[in-house]
Amino acid sequence: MSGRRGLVAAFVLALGLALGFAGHALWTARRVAEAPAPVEAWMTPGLVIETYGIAPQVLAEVLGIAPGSAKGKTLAEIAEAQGIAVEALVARVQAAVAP
Amino acid sequence: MSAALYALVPQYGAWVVFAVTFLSCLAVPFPASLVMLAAGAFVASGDLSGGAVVAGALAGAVLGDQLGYLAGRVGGRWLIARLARRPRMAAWLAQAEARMGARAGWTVFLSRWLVSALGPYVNLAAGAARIGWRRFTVASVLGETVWVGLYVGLGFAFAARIDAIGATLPSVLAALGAGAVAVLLARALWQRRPA
Repeated sequence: MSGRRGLVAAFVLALGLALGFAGHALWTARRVAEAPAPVEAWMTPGLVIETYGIAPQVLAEVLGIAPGSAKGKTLAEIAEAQGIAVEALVARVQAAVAP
Repeated sequence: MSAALYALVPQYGAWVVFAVTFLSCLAVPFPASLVMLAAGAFVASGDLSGGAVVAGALAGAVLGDQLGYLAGRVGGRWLIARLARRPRMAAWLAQAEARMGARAGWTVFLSRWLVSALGPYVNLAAGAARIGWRRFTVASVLGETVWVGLYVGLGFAFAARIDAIGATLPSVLAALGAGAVAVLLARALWQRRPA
């Protein structure tokens, strides 16, 4: 009987953990989704356009590049190529996509 | 860590996805699911080729599974006994070995995507139990296709909110893992119900 009792305890624990993690996932998703996604240095111009709906031409002007010329390049790489601080470039993009 | 990994994806494309899925299938703790999510997002943004990403992820995962299976076949009982010295691995291995019976195919398939933390240990157990290579490979490829399709697809569909997906993913995976354990325990309790 003690074996069955142990199984019951393990089941209750596993079920509690499953529900707890599911609740945490929902809470986290809701909390993160309420705030607009911050611009990050690992983003590419393509992903910035996809995320914020900014016009490609406008973003290209902000970044100081030709439209479509930085495919696969992150904002960090673009900043390094231009010899400017990554944080400064990210801040410029963040200002451009602000609602 | 996620930011550093996300930055590697557009730079190295399908190669980094291949490397991460390969290593994660050998129980190296890389967040392969996060990397596949990011890769899906970069496919949506036009930075990466969808075909290359899926092919890279699938190739890495299947190759990792095959190596794990081979290690089980060749090293067999010795390797499992060595790994089982670590308490956490012992628990995973015990679960994997218990499932190497008539339902081995389902176990391999489901451990690719539903309880992916169990996957590397199922590979070892399947090889050690000498589950047929063809049976193992079919289940592995089908399961990895679901895994890759699910995460790359999620990243593609929710590219605009990859930050939210990435933040919630660990809890979702933990919930799935605990839920799977709860289902197995419920089944065991049902089988042991008083007459």
